[in-house]
Amino acid sequence: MPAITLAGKQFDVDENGFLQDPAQWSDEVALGLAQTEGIEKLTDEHWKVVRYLREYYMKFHVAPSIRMLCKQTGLPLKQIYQLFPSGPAKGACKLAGMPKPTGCV
Amino acid sequence: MQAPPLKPNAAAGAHHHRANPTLLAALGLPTEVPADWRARALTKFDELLHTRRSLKLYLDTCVRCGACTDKCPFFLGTGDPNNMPVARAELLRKVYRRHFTAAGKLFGPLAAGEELTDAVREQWFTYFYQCTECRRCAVFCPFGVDTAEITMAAREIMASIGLATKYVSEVVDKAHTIGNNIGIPEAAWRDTCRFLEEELKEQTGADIKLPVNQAGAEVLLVPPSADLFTNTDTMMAYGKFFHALGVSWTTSSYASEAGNFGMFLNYEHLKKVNRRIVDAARQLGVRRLVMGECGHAWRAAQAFTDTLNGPLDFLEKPRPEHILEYAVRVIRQGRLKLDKSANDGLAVTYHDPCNLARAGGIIEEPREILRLIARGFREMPADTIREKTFCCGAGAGLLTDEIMETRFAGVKPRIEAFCASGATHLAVPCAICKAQFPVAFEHYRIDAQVVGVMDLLAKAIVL
Amino acid sequence: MQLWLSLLLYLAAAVFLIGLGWRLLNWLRTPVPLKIPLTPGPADRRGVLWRLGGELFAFRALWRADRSLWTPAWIFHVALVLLLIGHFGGLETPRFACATLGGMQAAFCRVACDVGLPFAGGLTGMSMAQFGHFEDISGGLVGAVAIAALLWLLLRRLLAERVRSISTFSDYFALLLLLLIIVTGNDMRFMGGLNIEQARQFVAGWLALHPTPAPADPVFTMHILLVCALLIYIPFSKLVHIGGAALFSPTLNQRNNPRQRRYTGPWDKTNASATA
Ligand code: HEM
Ligand code: SF4
Ligand code: SF4
Repeated sequence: MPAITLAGKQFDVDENGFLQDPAQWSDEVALGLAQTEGIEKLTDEHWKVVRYLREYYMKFHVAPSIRMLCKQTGLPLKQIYQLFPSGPAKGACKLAGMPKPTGCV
Repeated sequence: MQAPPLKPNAAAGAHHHRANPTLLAALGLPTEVPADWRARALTKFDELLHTRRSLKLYLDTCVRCGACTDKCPFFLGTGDPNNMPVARAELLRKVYRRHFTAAGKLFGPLAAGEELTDAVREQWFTYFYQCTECRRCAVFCPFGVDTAEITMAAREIMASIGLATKYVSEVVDKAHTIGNNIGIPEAAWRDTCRFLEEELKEQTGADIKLPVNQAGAEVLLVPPSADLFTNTDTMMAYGKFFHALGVSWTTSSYASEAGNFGMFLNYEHLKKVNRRIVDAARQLGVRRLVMGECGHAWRAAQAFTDTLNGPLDFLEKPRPEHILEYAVRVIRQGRLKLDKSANDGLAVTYHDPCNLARAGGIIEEPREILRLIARGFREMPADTIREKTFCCGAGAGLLTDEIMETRFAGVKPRIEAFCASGATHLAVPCAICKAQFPVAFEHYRIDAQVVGVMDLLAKAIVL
Repeated sequence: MQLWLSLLLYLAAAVFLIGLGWRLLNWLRTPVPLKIPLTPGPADRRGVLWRLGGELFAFRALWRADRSLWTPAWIFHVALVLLLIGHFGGLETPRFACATLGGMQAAFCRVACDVGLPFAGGLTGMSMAQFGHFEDISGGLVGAVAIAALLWLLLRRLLAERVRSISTFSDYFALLLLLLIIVTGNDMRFMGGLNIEQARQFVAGWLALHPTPAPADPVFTMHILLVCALLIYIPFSKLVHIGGAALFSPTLNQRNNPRQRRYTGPWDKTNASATA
C-alpha cells in the first residue's frame, strides 16, 4: 500500500493519493494533501468547501451531491473547479480526507 | 471514422489498478493469484466452455475474415492491434486451441495454439479491460460473434484466480453492502431527495416529492445512484414527470442502483446484484418496476432479471420497463402537456448507449420524445447511431481515472460523429456516458453539454 | 485398380461427417444461460428465420461491414455450393449412375435423371447432348470464378494490413487447399487429360456405395487426395463454420422476447423453476 509523508508524518493512501483512514485527517494533513494536488495556498473558499465536505462525510459517510455542495457553499461549479482543478469529486474530496467517490462518476 | 494504421502495443501500457486482498475477500475471490493459478484458470475455462454456448461457439467459428477489425472504438482510437475485436478474442482463443482442441494439442503453434503463461495472463488483464462489452463488433460479424461474451468469460476466468480491477470490485462491493455504486447510505439518500425536493420547489413552485421506500406505490423507480450525485437534474426530472402524471412512485434505499457491475465481473455477482431489485419490488409491494437512465442497467434488467431472479409475477406488469418506454406510452396517451419551446435554442443530438441499442432495443423511444420536445434535434451520421452506435468509451468498468488515455481513445469515434452533427447538446440516457462525455469534451476542447433525455422532457412538461 | 482411393475417400467422408456432427452436437448441447440476442431483433420465430436466412444466404452482416470482403466471400461461397451441386446432384452424374447401377441404390439418381434432366433441358431448350456440354462449360466457369474469388481473398489476406495481422497459418492453409482442389478440378476439365466419363462413373459409384476403380490419372488422384485432406481438415478447424455457425449463434438465433416470455436459463438450477 502506498504511503505519503504529510506534515512530517506517514499516512497510508490509496493509488490515487486519498487517505485510507479518514479519521487521520486534520487541517495540517489537508494542507499537505493540497500540495499533492498542486494547490499552493488554501483560501477561505477552499476551506469552506473542505469543511462542508468533511462535515457531510462525518454525518453521512459519503460525499454530498455536487449540486448540494454548490448550493451549501454558495460557490458555482465553475469556481469549485478553479479552486480544485481536478474537480469536486477528486481534488476537493481528497483534501477533505475522505475516500474517492467512485461509481458512475 | 477512418481506421488507423496498426500501432503494435500502443495500448499495452494502460493498466487498471488491481483489487486489493480485502476487496477480493469481500467478493469471495482468491485474495492473491495462487501458485497453481494456471490449473485453476484452465478449470474455470473448461467449466465455462461447458456452460456457455456463446463462448464455445465464438471461439470455434471465427474465420478471421477481418470484418470486425475496424469496428471497435478502442482499436479506432488506439490503433493497437490487440484492440481489434478478433485479435482481442484471439488472446483467449489461442489458449483455447492449445489446451482444449485436438489440433492445438497436437500441433501447438502450427495450429495457432499458445500456452497459458504469465505473459498471456498479463495480456488478458490489459486487453479484456479495454473492451467495454459494447457489442458493436457483433453487429458486423457474419456469425454474430460477440466479443463482449468473450470478454465476460475472460474476466470471469481472471476473477477466479484473484485478478480483478479495483474499480469494478469496489463498486460491486458497495452495491452488495450499501445498495448502490456510489455508496450512498439510506440517511444520505433521504437527505439528498429532500434537498432535491427543495430545488424542485424553487424551480417549479410545486410540491414535488421524491419518495423513498414508500410501500404500496404504483411504481418502483430504480435510478443509477449517480442521479443522486452528479446527474441530479435527471433525478428531479423523474419527480416532475411522475408528479405531472399523478402516478405514485418511490425509490428504494435498498435497491438504490440500476446499474449492475456484477456483469463486469462474473455471473455470480451479476445475479446477486440483480437480486436486490426484485427483493425491493416485492417488499415495497409496488405494481410496476421502472428502470432509470442507465445503459447496462437496462440490459441486466430487461434481459436477465426474469431469468436470474424471476418470476416477477407479483408485479401487475411482470417485466421491468424502461423510463423512456414508459414516457413514450403516456405521451402517446396524451397524459402530459408539453411545451416544445422550453428547449428552443438547443441544438440537440442523441447518443445511443450501447446497451440500450444493441442489448435492450431502446432505440426509437428517445428519438420520438426528442422530436416532440426539441426543435433543434438532429442525428449524428447514420453509421454511428442506432445499432451501429459508438460506445462512450467508459462502459463495463472502464470509467476510472488510471486508464484515462484509453477512455479518451475509445470515445474518439463518437466525438468525431458528434462534431459532424453540429450539436451543442448531447442527450444521453446513461449514467456512465454522462460521466464520460464531459471529461471527453474537455479533453478534445469541445464546448458542449451533456443532458439526460428525461432532463429535456421534464423541462418541456407543463404542470 | 485404384480402389484404395475410393476407400480413402470413404474414410475422409466418415471423419468429416462424424467430426462435424460431433462439433455441431457439442454446440447444441452447450447451454445458453441468458438471453443475449442482438437488438433490435425479431421477437417471433418467423423474424428469427429471416434474420438467419439473411446471414446464411446474403451475408448481411458482412454486407454492412465491408463490401470489398462481401463480394469475394459471397461469390466464393455461391460458387462452392454450385460446384458441390454439380458434383453430387449434378446433371450428368446421375445418368451415369443409372447406367451403371441397378436397384434401389439408383433410385434417387433416376429421379434426377428422368425428371430433372428433361426439365432442365426443356427450360433451356437444349438437347441432352448439348446439355452435357453446357454443364461441362458452366462447371468450368464456376470453377474459374471460385478461383478468382479465392485469389481475391488470398490477396486481401496478404495485402490488407489488419487482415494480415490476424491471419494464422491455418487461414492460408484453408485457402490454398481450396485453390488447389479447384485448380486440379478445372485442369481436368480443360486440359483434357482425363476421360470425363470415367470420372463421373467413379463419383456415381462412390456415391452409391459401389466403388469403381478410379481413373489412372495423376491430376485426378491429386484432386481426390486434396479433397480427402479438406474433408478431414474441416471438423478440426475454422471451417467447421460450414455447419452453419450462424444458426447456433445466440446473438442471432434467439428471439428478442425476454419481456414477453420468461426465459429460465435451464442450466442454472438456482434460477427459480416456475415459468410465468
Ligand atoms: C453461415 C453462412 C456462412 C457464412 C456467413 C460464411 C462466411 C465465411 C467467411 C466470412 C469466410 C472467410 C473468407 C475469408 O477468408 O476472408 C468463409 C470462408 C470459407 N467458407 Fe464460409 N460461410 C458460410 C457458410 C459456408 C458453407 C455452407 C460452406 C461450405 C460449402 C463454407 C465454406 C467455406 C470455406 C471452405 C471457406 C474457406 C476460405 C477461407 O478460409 O478463407 N462456408 N466463410
Ligand atoms: S467478423 Fe466475426 S468471423 Fe470475422 S474476424 Fe471478426 S469475429 Fe471473426
Ligand atoms: S464489444 Fe465493443 S469494445 Fe469490445 S471488442 Fe467489441 S467493439 Fe470492441
